[in-house]
Amino acid sequence: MSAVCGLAALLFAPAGCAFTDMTVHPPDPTRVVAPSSLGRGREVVITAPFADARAIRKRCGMKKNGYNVDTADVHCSVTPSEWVARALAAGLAQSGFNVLINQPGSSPATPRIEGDVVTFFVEPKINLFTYVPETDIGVTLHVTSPTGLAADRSFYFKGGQDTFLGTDDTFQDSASDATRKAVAGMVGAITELLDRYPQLGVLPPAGRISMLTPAGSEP
Amino acid sequence: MSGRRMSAVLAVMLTGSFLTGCERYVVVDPAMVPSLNARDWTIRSQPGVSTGPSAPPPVAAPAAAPAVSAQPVQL
Repeated sequence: MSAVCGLAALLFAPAGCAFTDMTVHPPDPTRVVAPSSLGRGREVVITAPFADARAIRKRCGMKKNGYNVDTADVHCSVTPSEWVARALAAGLAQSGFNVLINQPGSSPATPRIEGDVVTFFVEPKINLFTYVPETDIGVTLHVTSPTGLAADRSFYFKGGQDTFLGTDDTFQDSASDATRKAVAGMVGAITELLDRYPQLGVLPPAGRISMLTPAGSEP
Repeated sequence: MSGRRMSAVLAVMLTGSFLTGCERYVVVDPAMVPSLNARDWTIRSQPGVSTGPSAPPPVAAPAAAPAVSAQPVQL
């Protein structure tokens, strides 16, 4: 009998803490991307949150035991549509863009960035000797401007964290890794798009900036 | 529960776990990721030259002159 119990304990050991739900949090917004001057002060407007186009919305991921069985939920502390939009805004600001969130641009040449989050899911891949929490982030960006630009692009990123044990920390690291990759990829693509149209995002001359007043007050 | 019976229950549980656990992935295979990334932007329309918020509206084309009848006028 003790041998059977020992066998059972050994068999279920790989399950670890896979039976308890957990929550992942967005990474520190100041550390999603390395600071740079790619944006050269160009102004962009981001609509946050993005649209939520995920097929699975009730959770952000799942835990599995060592036998590849779904055993618990992974939740997000903020909705993925908010998560991705805010991370992109932080990444653009870190990259030298002047980012306005949910505000009108200061000129018709200010591009507006909207997005659809199509995938955001954290899930471990169970290998023979490793347990790899993977995070998939799929986003479609729409960049428009009052001057007539309309451009779309789909992105898909995967973050991973090789480990022998699937602790909650590795799930968090995986989500943070995917977020950093997503932000780096999207910031690079947005920069490349705006570089094609030098008139976009350029702030009005300084004299006009000085004329701007807080909303609701007269100059 | 006897040891033999418990072993049988465990065996059934584990077999079931293996079977139900198969193919239950939501995340995609890493090899598929490049194919899910668009290579470039799809430009639906290009930006024009900014005219500024206070630019006058475009001037409408003048109305066409009345058509002249080709028929000779009977006096």
